[in-house]
Parts: sequence; C-alpha cells; structure tokens
Amino acid sequence: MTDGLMQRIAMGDSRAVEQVIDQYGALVFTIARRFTRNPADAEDAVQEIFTDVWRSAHRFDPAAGTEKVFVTTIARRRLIDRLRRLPNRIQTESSDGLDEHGFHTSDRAAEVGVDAARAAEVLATLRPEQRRVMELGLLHGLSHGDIVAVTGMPLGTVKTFMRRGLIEVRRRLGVTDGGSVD
Amino acid sequence: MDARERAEELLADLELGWLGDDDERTLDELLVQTGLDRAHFAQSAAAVTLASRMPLLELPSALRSQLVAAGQRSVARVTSLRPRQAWLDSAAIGWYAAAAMLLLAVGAWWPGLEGMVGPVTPAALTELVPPAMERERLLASGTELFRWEWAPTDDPAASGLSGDVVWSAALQAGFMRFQGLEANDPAAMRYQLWVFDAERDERYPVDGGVFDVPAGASEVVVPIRPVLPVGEAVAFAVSVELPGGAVVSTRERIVALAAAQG
Repeated sequence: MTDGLMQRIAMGDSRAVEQVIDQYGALVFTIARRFTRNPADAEDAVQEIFTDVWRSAHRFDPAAGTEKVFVTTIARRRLIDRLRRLPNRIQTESSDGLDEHGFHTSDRAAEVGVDAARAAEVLATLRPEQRRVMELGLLHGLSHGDIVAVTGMPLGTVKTFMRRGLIEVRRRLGVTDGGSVD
Repeated sequence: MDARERAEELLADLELGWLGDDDERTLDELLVQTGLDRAHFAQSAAAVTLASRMPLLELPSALRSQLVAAGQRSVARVTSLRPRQAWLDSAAIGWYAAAAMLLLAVGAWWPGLEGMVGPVTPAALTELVPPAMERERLLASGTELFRWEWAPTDDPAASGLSGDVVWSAALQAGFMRFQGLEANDPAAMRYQLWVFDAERDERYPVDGGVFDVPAGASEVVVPIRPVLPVGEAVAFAVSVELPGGAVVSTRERIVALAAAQG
C-alpha cells in the first residue's frame, strides 16, 4: 500500500521516509545510472533527487497522476539539470554500450502502472526508428547530436519524432492544457 | 510551424535537456503566447520512462541508509519551517479570506510581489513568506544555531559587504544575510553558495544553491538549501558563477567567506 506516502511526508511523518525509499529507491537509482557517467555520480544524483522529493511532497496532487509518475518526474528534472551543467555532456557516436531494452507491451507495463501502460500502447504503434529515438533521448539521456550520430537520421527528423511521440503519449494520458487529467 | 508547434518542440527539448539559453528565452515568449506551461510533457516523459523494459537495479545498502537518515532530517526540517501550513490546513473556515489579506499586506511592503497577486493556494502562500521573516522565526525557535559573520574578499562585488550566516545542523537549514553585496544581472552571472563540510572532501563543497541580489536592495536574506546533507559545516563561501550555476566551482571569483573560528 503506497497511497498517501507523499501526503504523509508533507505532514512530517518521518516513518514514511523508509517506505518511500523502499518503494521508489531502486527505480530512481536505475534511472540515475542511465543518466550519469559512473555509480558515484548516480549516488550523488539519487541523494539530490530524494532531497527534492521531500521538499516537493506537498505539491503532489493525486488527481494529476500517480506517486510513481511524480517521483519519476522529479528524478528526470534533476538528472536533466545535472546533464545541462556538465561542461561536456556524455558524447556518443555509436550505439555501443547503449543497451536496447525497448519498451514493455501494454499488458506488461500495466504491472508498473496505468500511465506506463498507456505510454506503452502508444509506443507500440510507432515505427521502430521513432521508438529508438525516444528510447535514446528519454531513457539514455543522449543529446540530439548524439542521436543523429548514432542513428544517422537528420536532426529535423529526430526532433519531429520526439515531439510527435510525446504529443501522442500526452493525448493518451488524457492530460489537458491546464495540466490535469481528463 | 505555428507557435504551438514551435512551443511543443522546445518543450520536448526541455524534457531532454536539449534547450539552449537562447531557446529558453524563445520558449518563455511562446509560453506566454500559447498559454502552455513548462510541465507540458513532464508526465508523458515520465510515463515513457516507466514503460521501459530496463531491469531495476538494486539500491546499494549504504546509499539507502544515507537516504533514510537524510530524509528523516529533511522531513522534520520541512515541517518545522512550515508551521503555517498545519495551521492553515486546520483552519478551513475563513482560510481564503485570511490568505488574501495576508497576501495584500505582504505585497504592500514587498516590492517584488507587485503584480503577483493571483489565485491563492496553500503552497503559494507558504512560498511567499519573505526569507527575512523565516530567518527571524528560526532565530526565535530555540533551535541550536551557528552564526558566523561574512568576511569580504578583494572582489569588487564585495566592497562594503557585511552580514552573517545562520545555520542549524539539526534542521539542515539556515539563512544568509547580506548588506552591500553588489546587485547582479541574472542573465550575466549569479551568486552561488558553497558549504564546506568537515565530513566531506574539501575539494567538493556542497552546492548551497544559486541566488541573486536585486538592484537597490539594502539587505538581502537568502535561504540556504544544500542539495546534499551537511554533516559538520565549517565554512560557507559565495562564488560568482555563470547563469546556470556550477556543479563544481572554479573558485575564480569568491566574494565572501564565513568560517568557524578555532
């Protein structure tokens, strides 16, 4: 049972801290390893992310999404901020070392959560090269230049694939322009 | 490509860390024009991340212990620094009226709030409490505090600088107060705090956050929000950094230092 963890954190219930870490620690660490150069960087990033989670818990709105999405959003924001502050962002010219895990089918993704299942439904309808662009950008944190180098696609195509893919996922999630979910 | 499409392209770039400084300015203009917000694709990007088949890694046990300890301190700190929130939550009747009156009262003497009065939410109200007021609240709280005076360096931005640092190790929170620190243009440079922790390698002080000094301010009070737990703070330093801040300071321009004596 994880419902209400963020509300408990916001109310100062320190017993909820361990539950949050047990529930989301592995997820955050896994995402952080994808976006960092080494385990030490990832551990620093995870500490930053959870500091942000404690401070932001009072902003969690169950009507706007699940706690898992909330924590993942904070993790992504922090990791992107770190990437942008790096003097030399990770540079990749080949797909060597970039594990191609791909995405769940929607029924398998449903075990992760309803948002993941809906995203998986959309991803399944995309062309493989568009899915690969989204995987390289969103899961591996590659720059657009690196994605161009790895895939051989023109920059305009990479950006269009990403924008259109996110628009489709957003539509499937039912997010309105006010940020709420239909 | 119309304004919405261009905005969405830049919002996608934002989620991927692909946005440059020039794009940031363009995006700000487009958001005003289109009514979209910066979190437009945040939930979608998170959902795609969660749909990945990547296997979960085990959280290292030492890291877990650090997270639990820091989390429990942080949760206690956040609550102690937000006593107003509990009061607001329990005072449903008349809350909005009280909040609106407080906003108007604060706005009357805090020039930075001009034009910001809009829909009032509990979160917004909490964030609008001026740091100077929060600092006074911390000083009056009875919490064990460390207090050190700033020592200016030879940097021209620090000529005439005075002020102090107040820090609570238990709450992992504190405030910097400056008089005479030169105003900065946030587009050109920003000030950044670094906290030197006796329990960490001194080459890597903890990032205490970036801040600005507005033109014409006689005194500035800035909350200290270190990104990592600080075990034993022994010194605080303020550097001048590029607009985005720095992960590791070059220490080319240090404007102020506050260190524990002895």
